[in-house]
Amino acid sequence: MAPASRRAWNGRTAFQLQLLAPALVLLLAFELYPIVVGVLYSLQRFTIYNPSHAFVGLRNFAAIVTDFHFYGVVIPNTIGFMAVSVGLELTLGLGLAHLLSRPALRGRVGVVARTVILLPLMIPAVITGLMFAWMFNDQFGAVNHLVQAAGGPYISWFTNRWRAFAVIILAEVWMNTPYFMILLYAALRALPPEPHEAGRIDGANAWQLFRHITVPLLFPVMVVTVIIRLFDAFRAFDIVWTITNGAPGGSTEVFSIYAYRLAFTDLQYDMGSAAAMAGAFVSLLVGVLFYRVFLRLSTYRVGPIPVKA
Amino acid sequence: MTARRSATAVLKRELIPGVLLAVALLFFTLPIIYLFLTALRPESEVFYVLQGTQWTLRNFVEAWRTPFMPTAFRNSAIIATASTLLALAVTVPSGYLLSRFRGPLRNSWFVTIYLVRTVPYIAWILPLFLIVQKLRIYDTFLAVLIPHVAVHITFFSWIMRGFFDGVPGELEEAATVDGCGRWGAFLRIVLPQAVPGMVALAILGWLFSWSEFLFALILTSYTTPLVTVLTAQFVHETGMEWNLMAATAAGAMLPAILAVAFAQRYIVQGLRL
Repeated sequence: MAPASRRAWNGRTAFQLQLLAPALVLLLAFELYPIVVGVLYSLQRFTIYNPSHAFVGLRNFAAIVTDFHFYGVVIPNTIGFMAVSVGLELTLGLGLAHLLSRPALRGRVGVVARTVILLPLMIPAVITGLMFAWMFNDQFGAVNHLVQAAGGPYISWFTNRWRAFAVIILAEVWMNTPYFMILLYAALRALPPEPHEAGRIDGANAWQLFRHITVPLLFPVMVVTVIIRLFDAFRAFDIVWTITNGAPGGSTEVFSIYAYRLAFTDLQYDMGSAAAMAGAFVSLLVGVLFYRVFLRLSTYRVGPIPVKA
Repeated sequence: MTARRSATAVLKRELIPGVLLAVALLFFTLPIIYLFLTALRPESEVFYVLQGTQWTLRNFVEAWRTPFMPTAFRNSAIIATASTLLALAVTVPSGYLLSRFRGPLRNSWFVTIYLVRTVPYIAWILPLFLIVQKLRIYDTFLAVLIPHVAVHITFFSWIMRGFFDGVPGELEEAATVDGCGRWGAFLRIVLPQAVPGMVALAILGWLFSWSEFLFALILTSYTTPLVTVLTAQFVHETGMEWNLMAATAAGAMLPAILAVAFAQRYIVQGLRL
């Protein structure tokens, strides 16, 4: 569009308002209104036994941030979970995308492989959690069965914080590596061939090509994907709830599980709201900080993904 | 010497990637295969999935006869369909706004959906629970529809914009000149071009809602049972009925399997950044 006609086209604010109104009204009513209510409840005294709604200022927040379980267990768990799972997913996803973009895998085998690997991303997370809980069931699960058949010891997976956490992260990585794989694969296929050809002429080996040409070219997509996944990982719930629900002794609780437990197990709606709002505040803050990076990098278009070879 | 070197080279070039791919495929399929094997074991043998000798389809029959189960499958399908359609209806225009206009209105909408997406679900589902209690709509379709529509709105507007970006602007300019009007140009000329993208979004949105657990856990109970919560209950509330859990999970996985098998092209389109 020429700039002049674009300006004329943009002129009508009324039309823009009409386009926006339905989505905006629903979002305001369905999501932003509950957030405001949540902020109010987090400033009140509101438990099942004391629904007085008396204003208590920031006392609930003070109680949360001075709770050792919150700053000593829940926060480290959440950050560790985000860092380790997203780090592994990026690494494995990049490796898989690179593997699948080999010319030999452009045919039928590659299509089948990509189809199969897409499945974990599409099935309900609850089922993934239950599946891993069952596989790692200490008495009857497949993993201990195989470990013992191979002469290994009996391993009690869910009575130890780190072992339980390892199972949670494994399930998370299993579920979300395909996300990185599919987006990075698409980005790889969309790369221009010239840089690699030039590198090859200069005598670079496969690793050097990957490290110094492929990775830098994919960097914008990697950053955007990582940002999106970090926000997802921060609010992880289904996987943890089904695999450990925080056990043993709350030592595998992550942020969403903690807020859920305060509100729905301990029935302290005020404390639960305060915990949830503290988390929302932190992630909003990080969101604002990331905004410019995100905006700049997300203009990088991945383009339609060539699925059929 | 050269023969040996080229043999090792071929080995390195073809065998190692082949092995790696095989390992990856095993890693991503074995848990699902194990779940299906569990679903096919009789209750007495469910603890010997890898050793037992009997196979049965009884688990599927029994799981289906569990109280609330058929209703839960139906409810989940209704919620997924209704929330997807409703969200599509309102995000088609808002995505068009993001794609075609510059200016404060468009920019503030972009910032809004970006920021709202960063807020963890629990931060608004928790107060929403208290709100729906107050409105006396806890455990109804309406209550659980609310968060689904909200999540879809932010996600759909975002992706929809990309689909409209792919439709050349000259089309609606010409249509406006021909006296179509802005809405006419948008609905009759541009919208049909974006249909493949909308199908992609609809499939993804539908699968998201079908799979959703947190909203269902907090906002529903036995009046409006949903599949994900019921599946988890075999293990978390009624004891350790792994065989029935596996059978239900196998059924609940079916839409995802069908979508991946037959609509993969659409799914991947919808996953674009």
